[in-house]
Amino acid sequence: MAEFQLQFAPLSSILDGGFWHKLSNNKLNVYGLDESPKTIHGFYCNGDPPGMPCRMNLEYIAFDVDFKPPLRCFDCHGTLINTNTIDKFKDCDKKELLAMVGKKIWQSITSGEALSKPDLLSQLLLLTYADLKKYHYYYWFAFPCLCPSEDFRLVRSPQKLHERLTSSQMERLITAYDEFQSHHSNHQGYFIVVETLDDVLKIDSVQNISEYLNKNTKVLFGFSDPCTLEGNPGWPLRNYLALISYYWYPSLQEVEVLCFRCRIKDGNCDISHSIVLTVKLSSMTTEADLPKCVGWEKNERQKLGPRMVNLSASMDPVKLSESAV
Amino acid sequence: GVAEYLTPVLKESKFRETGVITPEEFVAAGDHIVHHCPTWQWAMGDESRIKPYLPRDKQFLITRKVPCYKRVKQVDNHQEEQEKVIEVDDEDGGWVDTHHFPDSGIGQVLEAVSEMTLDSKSKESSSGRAVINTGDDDEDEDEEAEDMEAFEESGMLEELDDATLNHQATTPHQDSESGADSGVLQTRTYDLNITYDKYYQTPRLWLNGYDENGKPLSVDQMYEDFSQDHAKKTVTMETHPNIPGPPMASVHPCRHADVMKKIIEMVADGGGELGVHMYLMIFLKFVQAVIPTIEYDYTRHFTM
Repeated sequence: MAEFQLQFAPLSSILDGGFWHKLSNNKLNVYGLDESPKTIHGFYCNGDPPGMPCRMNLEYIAFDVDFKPPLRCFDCHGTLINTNTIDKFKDCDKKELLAMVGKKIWQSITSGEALSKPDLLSQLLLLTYADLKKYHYYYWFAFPCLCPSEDFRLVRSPQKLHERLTSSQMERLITAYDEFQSHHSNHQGYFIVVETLDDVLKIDSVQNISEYLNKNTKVLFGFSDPCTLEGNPGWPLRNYLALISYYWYPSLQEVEVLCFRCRIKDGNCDISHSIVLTVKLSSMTTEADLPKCVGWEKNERQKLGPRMVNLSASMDPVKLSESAV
Repeated sequence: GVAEYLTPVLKESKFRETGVITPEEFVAAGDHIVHHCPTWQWAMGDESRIKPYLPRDKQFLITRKVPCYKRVKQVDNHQEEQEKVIEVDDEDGGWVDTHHFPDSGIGQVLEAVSEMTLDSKSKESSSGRAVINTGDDDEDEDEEAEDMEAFEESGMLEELDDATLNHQATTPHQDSESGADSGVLQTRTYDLNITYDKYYQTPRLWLNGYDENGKPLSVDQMYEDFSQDHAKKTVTMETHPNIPGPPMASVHPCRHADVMKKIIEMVADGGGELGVHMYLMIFLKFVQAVIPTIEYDYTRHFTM
């Protein structure tokens, strides 16, 4: 049987002016010269129209202590490092920074914490330098993920959900999903789908998986997928597969993964563009402290490098007063 | 502003006579839209900016990252096949949604929308708004930025990672229909907010644009997505009532009530009656004349 390399669609960062406004305020009033890591939050959703990139959103709420993602969106835990100088921004060790967050993810997996709180698998790192005189913001995102010793592979081409489930099963899946999410204060991005012999579909937390394994049930690993492509899953699956492999490989060699996408149009929930993957797991055991960790975002030129945004036109009080009547 | 502070909150409904609504009616219409178009959600905004006349968790409506595949000038030609007659039971056979542009002779509703200009100086000063002067709006190039290529790094692990999909980015101009199959679209997106404007006693639309790389759009870039009849006239930059940050683009509400009143009268002439819960549905439809290429859910199919 032919196998394919499983490729993940990377996340694209998208930030509003409110985020930079709040960062500027914090730099002036809270952080000062403190360059230590700060906690922020991003969020992603799984309901985008066709063709849209996988987005990781950061807004002014990113700095909220009791952060709550918007309705039907998923939390991403973030670490902000704001440097004081452009040289520090440029010269700091990017591998070390990435490893710092990678380690956090790895510890949450090995300690078992990520089984009960799988949202810990979604992490971002944001390195910034804010030139507050010019309102120029330099930034570089990383969405760290841990890699297995050998890449995950697809056993067969991705299936569309309607090829895998009947339309009545899809209806029940939507109901089960809403039911599952209603028990949590924030929407959960990772879950399991349980298919019993008598055709019952249920969605449950990852930590309850042992209730279903070794019984006459089929378990699919489900995650909320920000990707809209027919042939690829989005980035959040990478660390989920790392968790799955760490706990259930090699007793599970292959798993089915539901890339759950839920688009709402005219008041109806459409999940037919979701895809099902059959993934060949791989070993996550490592001699080193940490498995290989990747995830720096490419810039507009598709090169590994930071981005810059110039907000002087909308934030500089001098320019604003010039343009006001 | 001061005017907003001093204006008493409208309690009794004057919806049919004047086209304005009360905060309670705004909430009812908002609930209706959230129910029927769940891409719209209620939001609280910044804790310190909560308006007492609206429920805490229903301060404004928001829909995020709505694609905007084309600039207005790219669609600035009348296309018959994109016209759609909206079923209104009146003798004139309803009115036409061109899906793009208000065109004279289409109907009084869209005509009224295209008339929405800042015609009154007194209103302008009383609302304390800042109209963007577009005379010297060149991109800010006088402040030198660093050479970004100098920051690019080589020898990183990501270069060797076969598990990362390389984006085959496509532009929507090539073929927007098959975009989903051919790759990831590089497109602008918008966050749309609807607040309740206490001074004009109508809903008010706010826009937050992002470029193809997820960066905030400048005002001038956003003007490319407003119909040329309205850009620089009805779109102004002001401070959002619920969100901290730099000024945001907003469709000025000074003519909203008039337009709504005309629609209500038109429906009444046809023997219909427009419930106040429909207010925002119709509002979303008529602001589409201002932002014809932003593809938000304004629910095309509704009966009046």
